Amino acid sequence: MKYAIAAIALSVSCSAFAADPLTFDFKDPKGVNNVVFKLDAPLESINGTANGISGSVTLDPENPQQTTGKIVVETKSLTVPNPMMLEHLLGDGWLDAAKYPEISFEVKEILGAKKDGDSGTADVKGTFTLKGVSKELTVPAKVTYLPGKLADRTGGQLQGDLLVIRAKFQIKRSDFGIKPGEHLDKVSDDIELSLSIAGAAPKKS
Amino acid sequence: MKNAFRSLAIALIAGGFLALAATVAFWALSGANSGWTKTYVEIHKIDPITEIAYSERVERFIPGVEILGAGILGGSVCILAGVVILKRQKP
Repeated sequence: MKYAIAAIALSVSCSAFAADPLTFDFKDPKGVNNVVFKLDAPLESINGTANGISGSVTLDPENPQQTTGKIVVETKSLTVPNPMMLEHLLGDGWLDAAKYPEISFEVKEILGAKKDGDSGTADVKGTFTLKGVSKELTVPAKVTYLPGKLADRTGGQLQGDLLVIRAKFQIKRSDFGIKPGEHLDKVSDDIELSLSIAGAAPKKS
Repeated sequence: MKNAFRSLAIALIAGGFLALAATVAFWALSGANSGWTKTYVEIHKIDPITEIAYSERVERFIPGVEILGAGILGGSVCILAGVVILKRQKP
């Protein structure tokens, strides 16, 4: 009986110290989180950014293969320096921001996760949705877990952890039905996307 | 009447040079932007906690080459008009 009680006590204490998955919220009112997109066509290069980022990722730092989540970019937040180009970009001929207000990536599977201290790399398999069309993509990502750094970011108002995700990948606009085969001399079919985002997981008091 | 035209011509020439000089000075002192006029600038920053590179938009008027061109063209037209009037006044 004594050994049974000791065994139960040991398992309870072990589970208390095991890491619970943390949910990181990527909504950033400061506008630091951003996606950079680049199109390099023979006659024109287009560079733009988007910072209307939201979504969440649930991660167990001890078990990164179990990561789930979804990152959402508000289509209206995409911007390019030229106002005329921006009007076309968001218009119904191209991204149709009014009809398709969100661009998203939903995590399905983590492959080849490698940890190096509080950082790690992995291939993230998921569903990328753009202009209402969803495609399976595998994206290489670098993740940095910053325990206790939320206080530094919020001036001490909140305690918690940060998760920084960096990813760079390429898509083809034709795969998502965005004027396939048209204007290739000025608007490249290949779009390079660079994601730099930080999510916060406040500690529950 | 002759004096009025002469005065007009001198005013046009002087005004033309003034407009030309003012436009060039305004454009040069605003950063000599070789692109189109901008109404904002992007300041690149790095977040000290996450080390994420991002841009902050700051509203600022920066004249571009089309304003420079319009000022030079307008000033030149005034100067030319004044010279033409002066030449026509000569006996």
